[in-house]
Amino acid sequence: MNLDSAKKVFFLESRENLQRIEENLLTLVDNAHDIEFINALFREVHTIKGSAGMFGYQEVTDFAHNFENVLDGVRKFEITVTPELVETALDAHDYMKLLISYAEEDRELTDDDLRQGELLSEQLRGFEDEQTSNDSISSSIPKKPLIQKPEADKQRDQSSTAPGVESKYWHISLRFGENVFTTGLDPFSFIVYLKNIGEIKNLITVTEMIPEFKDFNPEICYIGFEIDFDAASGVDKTKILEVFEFLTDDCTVIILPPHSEVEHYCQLIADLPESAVQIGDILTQSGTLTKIELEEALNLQQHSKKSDSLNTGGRPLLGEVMLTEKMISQPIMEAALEKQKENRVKEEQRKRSIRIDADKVDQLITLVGELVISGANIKQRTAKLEDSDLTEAVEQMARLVDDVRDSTMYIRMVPIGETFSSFKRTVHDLSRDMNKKVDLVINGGETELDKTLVEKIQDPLMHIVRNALDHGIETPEERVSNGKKQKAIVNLNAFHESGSIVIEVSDDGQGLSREKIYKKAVENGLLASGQTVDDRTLWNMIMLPGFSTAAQVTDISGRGVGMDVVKKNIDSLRGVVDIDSKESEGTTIRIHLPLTLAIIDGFLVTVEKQKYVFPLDMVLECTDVEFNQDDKEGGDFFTLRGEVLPYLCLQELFYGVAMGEKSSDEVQHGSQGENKNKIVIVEYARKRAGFVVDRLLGEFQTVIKPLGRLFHNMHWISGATILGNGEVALIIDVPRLIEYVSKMVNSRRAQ
Amino acid sequence: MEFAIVSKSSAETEIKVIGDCTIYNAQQIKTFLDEHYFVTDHLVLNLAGVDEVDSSFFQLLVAIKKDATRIKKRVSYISHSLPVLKYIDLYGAAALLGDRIVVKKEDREKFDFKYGLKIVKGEPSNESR
Amino acid sequence: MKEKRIYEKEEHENRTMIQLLSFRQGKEVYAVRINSVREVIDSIAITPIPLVPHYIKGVINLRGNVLPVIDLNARFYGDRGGIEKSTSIIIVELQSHEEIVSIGLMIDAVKEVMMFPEEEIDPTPDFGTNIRTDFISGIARHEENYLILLDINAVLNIEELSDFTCPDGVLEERNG
Repeated sequence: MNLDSAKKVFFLESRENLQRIEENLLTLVDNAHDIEFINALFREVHTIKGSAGMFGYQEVTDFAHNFENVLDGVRKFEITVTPELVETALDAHDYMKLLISYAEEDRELTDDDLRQGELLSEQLRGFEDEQTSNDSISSSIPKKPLIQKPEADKQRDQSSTAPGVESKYWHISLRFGENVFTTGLDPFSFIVYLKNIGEIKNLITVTEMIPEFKDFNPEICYIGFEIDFDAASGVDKTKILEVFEFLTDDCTVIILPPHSEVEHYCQLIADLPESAVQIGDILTQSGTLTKIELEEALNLQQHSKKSDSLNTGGRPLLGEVMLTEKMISQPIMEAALEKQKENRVKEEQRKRSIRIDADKVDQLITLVGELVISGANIKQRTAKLEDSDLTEAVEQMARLVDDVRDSTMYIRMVPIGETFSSFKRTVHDLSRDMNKKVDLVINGGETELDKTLVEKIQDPLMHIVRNALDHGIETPEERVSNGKKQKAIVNLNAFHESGSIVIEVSDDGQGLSREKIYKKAVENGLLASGQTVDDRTLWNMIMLPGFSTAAQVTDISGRGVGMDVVKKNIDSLRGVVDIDSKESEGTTIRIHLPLTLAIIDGFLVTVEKQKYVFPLDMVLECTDVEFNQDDKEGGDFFTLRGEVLPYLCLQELFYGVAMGEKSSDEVQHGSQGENKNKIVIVEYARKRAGFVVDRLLGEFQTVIKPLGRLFHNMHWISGATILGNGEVALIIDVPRLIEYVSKMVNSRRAQ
Repeated sequence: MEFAIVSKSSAETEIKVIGDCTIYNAQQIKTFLDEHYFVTDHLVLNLAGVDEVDSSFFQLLVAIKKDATRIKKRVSYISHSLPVLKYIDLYGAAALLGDRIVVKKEDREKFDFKYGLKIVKGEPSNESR
Repeated sequence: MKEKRIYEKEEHENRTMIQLLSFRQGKEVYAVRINSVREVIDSIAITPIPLVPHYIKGVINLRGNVLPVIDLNARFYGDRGGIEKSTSIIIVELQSHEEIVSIGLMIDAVKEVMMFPEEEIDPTPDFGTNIRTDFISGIARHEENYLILLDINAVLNIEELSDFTCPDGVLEERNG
């Protein structure tokens, strides 16, 4: 029994529908004449209306109905798309979202909410009224009907030479799948909902299939319905079909238009599970068919062996039934089949995806972490045994453990697109409030990253986007006078780069002012007056805590506001922020984030006997480098294949052992040459540096263990890991150390 | 959902059904009715206390009734609650079930019992409304 | 690695008895309430961390979790002190910023787990102790000796303990 889970699916899907509505609305202004587009919008609202009705959320259905009417007018070119309409529609979207979230939380609407709803409905109706008054004008515009009008059906029927039945109503036969009840659907709701698009003239509950009471299973649906339906004007077969679109494929829905040919009733009788006599009785007694019509149909059936075989071959699916109905106009049938296919694909996707509690995934990841550690332990121990068969078996297992690890981590990966899209509304609202014209361009939305990261990056990104609009982008007038396009562009971009994910927010606004930031930096004592500093270093200064406060006060035309908070948030994700800007051309803020949070491939080294891990994806290479005295005197640089790189001696930094002094480790293991040093070259956020270590131990799977609050002020270690033998190794925070090295080197160079 | 046995004998058993009667407890209801339906000549279900219903319960009501007609037993439903009536009304089942239905004056407007077979044939229809 | 699992406080002879874990540190005997103690472990490999204050002894691997270890001697007296033969680590659980933080507290030697009547614990004297008074929550007589009851939340105040910058001013904040 999973009504609750059916409801969950409804809420989930409604959220998705709402999101698409919002997206579509935001681009509606530019696509006012794209019929596909408006149609999609209409469909989304309609789906919400329909499914909300199914679950008895009347307020949602009612409100959506108003909303839908306006959109219907738009797609028929009876209502023109204006900025006001878009704004109202956005508000309507928000209100619908509110209604649905209330329904989900089982909360009552407040009086304020109700008033807002009434106001919005009023506004929506206002657009509809406009439609009536505009009718004379809009009729001159060539209309492109999207879905064939029901008249087409009727006309065909009437012009058809074959005589149709007397009944002027639609006939709907419903048979449900056995487990329609247990999937949480109540046929009652569908029928109640059907009343929204017309009048039910008669309804017969077909009970023929109910077995004897001792064999009766109360959870199985045996009943069906025969309905005579007077459709409201404008309602066609597709619309009626839409009412039942939530029914699964094992349900049979047969819809016959008014005055259908007797032949089709014959087919209908054949297609229903009950006997021809039973159905015949029902159809005559309900007034659907006259006795003569029925006799005709039954006669037809007896002559038609084909339909008999169809009958014994089991109930045909809805789409197939429709195919056998020749009189349905081709476009409608195709549309309906297409729709059904779409639904089926959706349904299949839903079936293929399962929703898992995030805690369970975390638990799995922890376990995989333990598995990785003990796998490493086994590997180490077998290496000592020198048993080649065993080693091979262990290797095999290690590869599998790798795969398990990767697949497990992959479970948590989600595309960032959804987060990006949520900024469309922000940009829309902000640019309206600020009287700026901005286009949000999104790239790389399919880039996947850890779910936790996606959640945590939302706020910093929001901050950056707001800043871009507030401080970066000029007013349309300013832009024009500067020879720019009136409409500014904010670009959101995501991509992979050397083992990290990069998220970029760039704008074509006025850029950061070097002059003003420099002045501020000198005032704050960050720079000495007259000191040379490269752009990048200067830009990154706006993310320093003291700086931003000062910037706020003096209103530097850049983005001082809250950038320190952004940086802090991103730091906590082991990420790095980088700013690039050109005056009057724009600013790019680049966020580098690690791929995952829990398990990484590491490169193990020792420094003074203590083991340390570098994240492997940041390691470019490991090599022996010879430093001569001259190099050292000249500053902490070395040359590798012509490239000058800054370096840092970790022995010296961590333990105060100057390079050149033999460390105890070296004495034990004997180094090859006097001045040869092992160096690990790393790259992060487009910066490179070398770190001198004692020994290189090779690759190692690393489960990151957080060091906890006690170490939250320590910035050169990002965590710890446990080696196969239980020993703890510390993980080098490469981004921070690179930052430190380049800063140190710069300051030495400046001296 | 619970049952209150008003009277019990091989001639007539009257049971009050109270609470929600939906697919969630359909199996339970069926099991309970199995115990009583087969051992009495006339089963009376008082539906006044039925709160929430769905099509599964409606179907169950029809199922016993049909079975009773088949094996010449009597089953009657009395004092239908509003939720039950909503189903009987929309499903056009007043005649099908054939019980006497009492609708309070203030609720009359909510129902019109206009659906169902136009010609009522067979036995169970002494009073259709 | 040996474990001693310790249990909660009980009522005893109509007096409120609290359960304490007593240990020797230098010449003094200290005690902590048992409800904050998760376990006591004997010698275990401690991985030192460079560039941190010396009261942070390092980190240990406790069944797959990496926990920091605070050297009580260094915390009390600022000594560096080597590892004694009978050094033990008390694993303490604290509440900090809505999360449970586990920390190892390195002490000289565990004495015993005892029931102690709450009334017999006197408030902290203002003088006569050689450690910070805010570390002490009470003092009691016990078998000829004084027992100093520690306020573990003060001794292991995360905010205070984590408020360090690296020597030389390197690597602290990124303003160089």
